[in-house]
Amino acid sequence: MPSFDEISSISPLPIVNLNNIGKPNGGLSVQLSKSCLKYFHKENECIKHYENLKKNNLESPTPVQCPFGFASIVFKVCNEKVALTGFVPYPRLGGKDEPKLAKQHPECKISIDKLTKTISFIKDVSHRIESIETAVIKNQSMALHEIRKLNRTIKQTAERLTQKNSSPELLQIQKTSELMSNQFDIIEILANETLTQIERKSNIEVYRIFDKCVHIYQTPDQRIKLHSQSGFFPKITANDKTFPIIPTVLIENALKYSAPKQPIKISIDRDDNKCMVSVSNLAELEKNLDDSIFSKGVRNSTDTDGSGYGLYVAQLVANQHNTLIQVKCIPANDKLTKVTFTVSFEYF
Amino acid sequence: MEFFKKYKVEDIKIHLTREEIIRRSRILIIDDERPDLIDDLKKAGFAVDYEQDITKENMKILENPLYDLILLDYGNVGKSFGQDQGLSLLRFIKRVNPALVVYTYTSKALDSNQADFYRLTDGVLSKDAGIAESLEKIEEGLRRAHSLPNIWKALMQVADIKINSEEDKDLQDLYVRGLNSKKKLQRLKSRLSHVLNSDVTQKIGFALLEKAIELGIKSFLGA
Repeated sequence: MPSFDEISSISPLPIVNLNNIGKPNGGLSVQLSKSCLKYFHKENECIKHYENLKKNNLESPTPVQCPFGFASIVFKVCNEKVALTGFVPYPRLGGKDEPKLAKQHPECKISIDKLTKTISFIKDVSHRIESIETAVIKNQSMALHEIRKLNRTIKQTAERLTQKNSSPELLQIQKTSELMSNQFDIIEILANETLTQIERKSNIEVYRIFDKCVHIYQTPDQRIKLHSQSGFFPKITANDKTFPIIPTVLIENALKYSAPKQPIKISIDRDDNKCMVSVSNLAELEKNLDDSIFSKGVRNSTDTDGSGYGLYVAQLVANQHNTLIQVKCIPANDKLTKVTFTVSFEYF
Repeated sequence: MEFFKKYKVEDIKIHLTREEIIRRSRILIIDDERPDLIDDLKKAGFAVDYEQDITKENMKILENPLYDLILLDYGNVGKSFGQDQGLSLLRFIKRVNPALVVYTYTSKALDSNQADFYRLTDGVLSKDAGIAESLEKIEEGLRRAHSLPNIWKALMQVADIKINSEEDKDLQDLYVRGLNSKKKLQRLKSRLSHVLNSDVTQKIGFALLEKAIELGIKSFLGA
């Protein structure tokens, strides 16, 4: 579904998002006039005007005059409630400032007929974008489906061969196939974020899931160390499809950004009535990491090949499990910083 | 047994070994493409049946309490139950026999209307899950299928009795006491026969009750 920014990018007139009211965006043909900008920053009246617009009838919208003489018209496109704004319509609505504004900003004048056509144009193009996006997701999903089937064949064949005669090469194939599965899980959530809204039904042992991940990502020099507080093997209620993404992303990230030959430490500890998992590594950082690292598409400054989606997806999964992944950076020595990601779960 | 105590199903502790789980279980795989996993499951000792699809012609197999666990694919199955393919079939299975543990798998991105596929399911297997991972999950699912609380909950759903209602609590007490008394067991069956009012619910309801009784007696004997 097109976002407000996408809808805004095709609008000939200034446009405002009524679902998340802020400063209107300028249009392709008509920019937001200087007067409009001045009023928006000066008075709260604009916000009130947009809030009132939200209540307007969407079936047969008509232009509504703002307190400063410009006009706005509300409509709905692809689930977004938006309004074209900052224009002076003709025939005039009848406000006392209208003739003055029309003279000052001739570029903002628009006939009601053209206004209706503009709205139809925005709706039409947005729906086209929506159908293209849907087709892309569908094709992506079909492709992923086929690739997963191939990956299954590789993984299961390697497992069957291992049963007969195990070798390091076969184990490596299995591990690589597992890594691919992990990446596919992340892509699947990116394509369908509603998966992170599904309820949690499975009882899983946190240590086991992290341990499985450690086996997949373990380096030849055994740099990944997993430690659980003595006798502490908590079980949590989780979604078995999405939960493994958390250890996958945290361990993969720690490995990727770790300085050479430095250990990756994972510990599972009791913290009050919660189970706290921390994954830490020593890295050379240009600047400390903060919460922005969990935003979509944000990458570490030293990142060369990351997609910027791993931590975003992991945080979505953490939210699904009523928790939050946090990051902390502490200087370890002159060159290295200790980066620790922590996440706590309620256990039973 | 204490005279005044009201017994609950959870008072009965049952432990089934892996071998027993395998021996007792029957699995059905519904997938338009025959998965190789069938052979791996058979090799591990599981009884497995395979159906390419469920249609009006073979839906009887779901109305009989034959299976403990179903592995269900989303795509190209269940079209005779509705437009939502695997989801339509899943809804049908859960309505007919709620005790059946259903694991689903698909890697197609489902839209928000189809997200019910993951909500109704008891567990999810990745389309590219390995053999060991699949067997482990299936065993876990079968353990759930053979757990007394799960069987009892399904029995109450089939009988349309609210879980934790006074009626449910009375029947639980009657069931536990019935494991030591044929007369009480008879009374339990008679009460249930009044609420299981169609052929299908009678068939499934009594099969669930028999399963619960057999597991309960096994626990009493400590075997």
